[in-house]
Amino acid sequence: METIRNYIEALFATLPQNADTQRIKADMLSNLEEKYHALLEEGKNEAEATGIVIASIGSADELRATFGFADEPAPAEPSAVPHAESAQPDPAVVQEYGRYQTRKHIMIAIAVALFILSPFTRSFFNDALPRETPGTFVMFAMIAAGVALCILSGRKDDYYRELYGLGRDDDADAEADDDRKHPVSTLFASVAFPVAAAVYVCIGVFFGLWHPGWVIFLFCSAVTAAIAAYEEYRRRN
Amino acid sequence: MLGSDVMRGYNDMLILCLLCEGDSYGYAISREIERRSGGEYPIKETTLYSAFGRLEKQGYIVPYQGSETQGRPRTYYTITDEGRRAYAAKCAEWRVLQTVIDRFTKEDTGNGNDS
Repeated sequence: METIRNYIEALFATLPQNADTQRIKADMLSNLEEKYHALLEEGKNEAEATGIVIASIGSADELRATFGFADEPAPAEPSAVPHAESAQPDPAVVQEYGRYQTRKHIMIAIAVALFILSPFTRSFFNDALPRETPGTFVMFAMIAAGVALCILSGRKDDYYRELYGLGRDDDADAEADDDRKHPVSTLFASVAFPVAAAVYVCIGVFFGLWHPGWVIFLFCSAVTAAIAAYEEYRRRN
Repeated sequence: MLGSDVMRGYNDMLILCLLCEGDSYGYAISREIERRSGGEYPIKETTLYSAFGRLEKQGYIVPYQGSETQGRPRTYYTITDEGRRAYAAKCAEWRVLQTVIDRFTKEDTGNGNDS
């Protein structure tokens, strides 16, 4: 809904600010909100509903013809919202985006499963086979596959954002939103997780502590979540 | 699917038609237009609201604040007598236009020498 609100703000920024346009804006927003919730009830996900609603808005030119300055030429578009009235997202693209979101979440889930399972495969292969090498190899192969999935899953985000012309799509992409709202927890996570990964590999290789060692990731997640929650609390008060 | 270009000039008529049946508000009108057009004409929000603005200035419709639903105030529109007359005139105009355009409509444009 935040994305839709921003879109409407950008659209009306090019029109004169008077009682008429303010009323139209508020009314249009409440209609779009109703439509958005109706789409969610139909079973669309948030990204799909946002896309469909934005695709149904139309262009500011039409509003300007009715509500614009009577004899002034149309004002130049502010460069910050280049797509606000020119490029309408194609409904087919919107559908595709919804499917892409689902795919992305599945890929990340598989990657996490690979990370968690990797140490067990090592001990499994080592029990089954006489030498240690294949088990370790399989473990690292799984970690590599997981990393590749993580990278692949995020690959098309920018493409879709540009297509929508919305900059950061905070409805569809909570992580991007966190960057702005939760600077400390984001910073902590960006340092803690690579360090945790290094520590995990070291204690695993040198002391064979793969098994209780993976708890370090849970610990990092918990601390990150706690910091984020604290920041959210501070931000709201 | 019909675009705004094709429907230009007839959006006002669609809205007046629905308001003749009773007062209504933005979302209900756009939903009804899409439904009755069999999904052929999903009217854009900006098209709808610029039509509201135009009809209001011409005195064909009058807005009023309706009851609040889920905490949001809603602007309803009601049609005036003048609006009903304008709607009737628009319908008459359409009959003429339809007849004229029909005379230029040939499904088979293959060899062009028929009639």
